[in-house]
Amino acid sequence: MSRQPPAGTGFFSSDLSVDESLLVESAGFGARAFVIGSCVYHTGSSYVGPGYGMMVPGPAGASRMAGLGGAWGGEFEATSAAMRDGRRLALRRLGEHCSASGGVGVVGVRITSDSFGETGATRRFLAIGTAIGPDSAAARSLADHARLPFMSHLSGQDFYLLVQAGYMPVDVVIGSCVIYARAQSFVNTVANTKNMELETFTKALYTARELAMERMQSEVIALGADGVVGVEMVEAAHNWGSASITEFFVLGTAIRQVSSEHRKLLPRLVVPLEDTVVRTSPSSIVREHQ
Amino acid sequence: MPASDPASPGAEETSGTVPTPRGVRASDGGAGSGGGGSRRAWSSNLSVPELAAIRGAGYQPAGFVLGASVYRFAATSGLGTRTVPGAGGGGVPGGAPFTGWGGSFGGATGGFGIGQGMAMGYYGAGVTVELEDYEAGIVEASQLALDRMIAEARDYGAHGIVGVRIRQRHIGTPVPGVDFFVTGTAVVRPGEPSAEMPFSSHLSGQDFAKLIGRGYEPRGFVLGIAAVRAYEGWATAGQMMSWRNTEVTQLSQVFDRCTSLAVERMESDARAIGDGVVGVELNVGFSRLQAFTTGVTAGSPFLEALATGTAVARVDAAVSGAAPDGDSLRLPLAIMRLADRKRMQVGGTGGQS
Repeated sequence: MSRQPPAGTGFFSSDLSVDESLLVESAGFGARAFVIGSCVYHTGSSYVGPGYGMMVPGPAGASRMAGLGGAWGGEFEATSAAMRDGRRLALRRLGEHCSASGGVGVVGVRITSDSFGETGATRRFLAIGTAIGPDSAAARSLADHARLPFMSHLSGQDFYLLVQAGYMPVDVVIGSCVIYARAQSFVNTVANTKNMELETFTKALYTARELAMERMQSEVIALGADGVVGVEMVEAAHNWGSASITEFFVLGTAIRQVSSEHRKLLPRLVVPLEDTVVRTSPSSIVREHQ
Repeated sequence: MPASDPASPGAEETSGTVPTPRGVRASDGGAGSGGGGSRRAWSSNLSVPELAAIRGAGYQPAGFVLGASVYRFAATSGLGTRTVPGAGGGGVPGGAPFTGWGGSFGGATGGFGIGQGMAMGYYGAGVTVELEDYEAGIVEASQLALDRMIAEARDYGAHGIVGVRIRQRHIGTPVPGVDFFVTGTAVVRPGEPSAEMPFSSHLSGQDFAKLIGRGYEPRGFVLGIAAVRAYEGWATAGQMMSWRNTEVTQLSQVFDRCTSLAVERMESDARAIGDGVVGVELNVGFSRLQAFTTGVTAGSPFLEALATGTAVARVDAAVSGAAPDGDSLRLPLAIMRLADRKRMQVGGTGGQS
């Protein structure tokens, strides 16, 4: 039986779990480096007085949009753009770090954002993941046909499945929409004696989600990808000084079919012996500040 | 990396004077030879699947081990700081900016924070300092705790420790300091001579077994830290007050350097003992320590990044890379889980905000 020497002989670091590492290895790739991309980004400050003429500190550039309920709310377009641009910069640097460390793509990308300093106007964005490189001939040819560096927020397990099914990740795609929307309106304040839907609020939330999704999809189209998988949506009222300001953030991995046809996987049914409370990857460190 | 040397005089002296309480219990039989371990009941914080996995890999639990260290940071004079190259460039007259100012200026426990740079006359791109005293303190404190845990494992005659967990707590009273508490389960490979230096690893029992089966061996829990404080110049202040969206260049560089330094230090520690690091975790955020002196700017926040992981080494080149035919790890089996998804939350979510 002929055995190859261990593939990547260089030093590597990775934040993949052992399961993920082994599966990525089985897909013909190997971990190269734990990579980071970051950015500190400032949102222009301004105020908006939607309906009530109130000052809202923090995000800027509100435009009253008919779709978001007219005078009762609006999108902070500059903030939406800042949340997107900040993350994009961090992702771009993640890609640069990946290429510099000899990788062809990043798997397990995670993006976090926090306010940097005392106000919500300046935020820091951090993208982390594990850069991987091809160790087998098959993986090398996959990489040759991919847009490099490829990026995916999917786990190593999902990456393995994608490759097996004949797809490759293209890029992490994002969409963001920051809105100001209040549940209270003139109508529901006056007519408070009966049950009613807060129509403008519902509409605002719908529109905001739709806008975030659309923005993500336009990235997918621009990339020429086939579709997007693993979409996650996060709603967060960051510390922007008002609970009425919410960001709708969507993130997914754009994928493209690289084999001539979809390859079927035939799953086998199993009953796992694992406990129902599965601690798959507990954090190794707990930090408390007094 | 300052003070990462476990043989530094301070470390030796302190670890010598603090007793390892389990040492007494461990000595009552079986320790050292490993083979006699069956006569003594062991304790562990392993789950049942972890236990099964470890036994499957040819190891057995020797005992629950722990280490602790409560550590006080120096009443820093600011001498333990230096400018960070490549982060918030230059413009500092007269070399090292914060030495010789006395008091708590510039140190981890005092000094000024973001927004104060201009008042101090740092125009232009601002200046960034690294809090070396603080970094050295964290490294030494964590090393003390880890060393004590490893010493307990050695008392058990163990070959290593799995499932290492660290709790780091900043204490503000009566003095600014840090409290490290580490736990894990010592494992022994029956019938083998005990290890001079047991390995430590934050991997679970299952992960440990998979690594061993794949021709790797854990070598040690590694940690890298970086702490910096940024003093902004007018360029930064201008960007932070802008009406338009803009990147804050200096702070971006500070953030980048801080996280990179932590990871690089962890990697360089790992390079000394292994071929790679697995399970890297990066913690980054603002920390604030109570100052000795009171004042409006005392104890202002600074940026801190901590990278942790387990260094591993390839011990069996034949196993890794290419596995024999029929290796189940080489050819994963696609399965359909009957457990519901909520209970199977795997890893992190991508878009956590």
